[in-house]
Amino acid sequence: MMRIGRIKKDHGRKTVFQRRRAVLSASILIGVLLLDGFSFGEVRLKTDRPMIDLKETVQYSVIGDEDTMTDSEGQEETDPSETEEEKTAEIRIRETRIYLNGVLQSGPAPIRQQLLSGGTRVILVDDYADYQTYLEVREMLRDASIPYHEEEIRNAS
Amino acid sequence: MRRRGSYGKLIPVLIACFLLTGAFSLAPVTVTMDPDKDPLYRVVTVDVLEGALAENKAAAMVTYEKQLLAVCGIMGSMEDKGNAFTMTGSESAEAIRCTVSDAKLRVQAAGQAPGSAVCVMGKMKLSALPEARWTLSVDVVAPMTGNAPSGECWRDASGTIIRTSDRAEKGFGADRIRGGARVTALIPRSFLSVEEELPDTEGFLYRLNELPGERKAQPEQLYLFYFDNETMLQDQNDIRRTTKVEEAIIKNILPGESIAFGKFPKRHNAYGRPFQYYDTAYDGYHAEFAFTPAGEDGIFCMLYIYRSSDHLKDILSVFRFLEIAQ
Repeated sequence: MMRIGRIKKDHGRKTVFQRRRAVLSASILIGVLLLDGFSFGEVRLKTDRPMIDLKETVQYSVIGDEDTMTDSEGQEETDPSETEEEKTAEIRIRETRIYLNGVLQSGPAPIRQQLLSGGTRVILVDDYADYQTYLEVREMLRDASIPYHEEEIRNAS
Repeated sequence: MRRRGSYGKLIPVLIACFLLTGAFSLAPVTVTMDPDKDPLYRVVTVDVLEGALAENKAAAMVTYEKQLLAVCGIMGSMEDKGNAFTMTGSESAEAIRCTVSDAKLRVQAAGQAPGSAVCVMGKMKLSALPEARWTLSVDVVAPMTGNAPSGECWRDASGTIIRTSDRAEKGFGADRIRGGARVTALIPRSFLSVEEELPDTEGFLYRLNELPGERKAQPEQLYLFYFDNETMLQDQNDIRRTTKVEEAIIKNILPGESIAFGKFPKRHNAYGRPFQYYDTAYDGYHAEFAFTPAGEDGIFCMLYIYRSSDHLKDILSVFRFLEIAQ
């Protein structure tokens, strides 16, 4: 009787041990799954709109004359104002900066000289322009009787 | 048997492959925008250090311990083994101990004549035994030219002096904390002339290549901006997943970027602030990111776009004067 009892007891211990092992391995599995969930899920932002528009800021920061610009730009240039530069010139005013085809200018006067040389179509872009600067450029275009078309960048989307 | 034999050959090959790839991913890539490469040391004299210690030990520890300091004083004597030397002030008799770790520094230290004015830069510790004493773990030993600069200032290894009065304060995340900014950065005052507010994000762009007097054709730009978890994250439960949030920021600015953060350093910098760095390219330019969490409210981000890093020193100094309110 004693013997049988002891065997039964041993058997009982074994199953407890096995159960513990099963619980342990199950919890490890759950842990790994949880970790996976934490590390592999992508974080989503409320908007897909870029926080910083590098296309805008890096492209419109080239200073200098046409020579240095073609030097530094090199490869993939997709700006439409560049490809048809014979016909269209884009004057973009951001705050107090004036860009002619993406090149920062020192003021309205040098633009006038560059535009008078060819019969170009001018697009005047108000890119959060400083009011005074914008007026000066427009005045210059009127003075030189260069026809222009106005555009405004002020979209919230 | 045959099968076992082929496995026997395969396993060492697999282990070798594993080790090789592991070795590649374990060695962190260095980034250019890393303040530890050229840290700024706070200038202080031996007299001030000893005075602070005599007055209030606890307060002195808070101010100076574990800080990068440029200590100005008078060269004392080398210890017997040449592993350390002493430095004294003009007023107090107490000397601070400067430990030198490598042979090059030992030669530099031995080159300074006892009694001459020196500036020793390194990390300060207060050793408790046998009595409270300042111990500087030395990075640079330099002779002093002229008097020690007065007032609060910092200097780098090459001797350039930087003062907070020459800098402009920029606050970020002000609506997250009452009566102030969550993050405060001190930028060189000259940057203000090329500053532009970012239209879609709380932050600024500095067109460094357009700085007056040194106009260059190629863009060199620094962006400082604040990512607000509450207004930007779709799921607020993601707040603690900082690394994944940083990934999402990069993907938002550079769509299509496949990010392997493991290759890039994530560590506390010399000033004790944790930063995650990332280096990639945009349109032929280097694009380097640095992120540091601002509590659980948001992340302060720096983005540096350049081909030639002409203003690196100025940019690295921004890390030194970064304050994040807790």
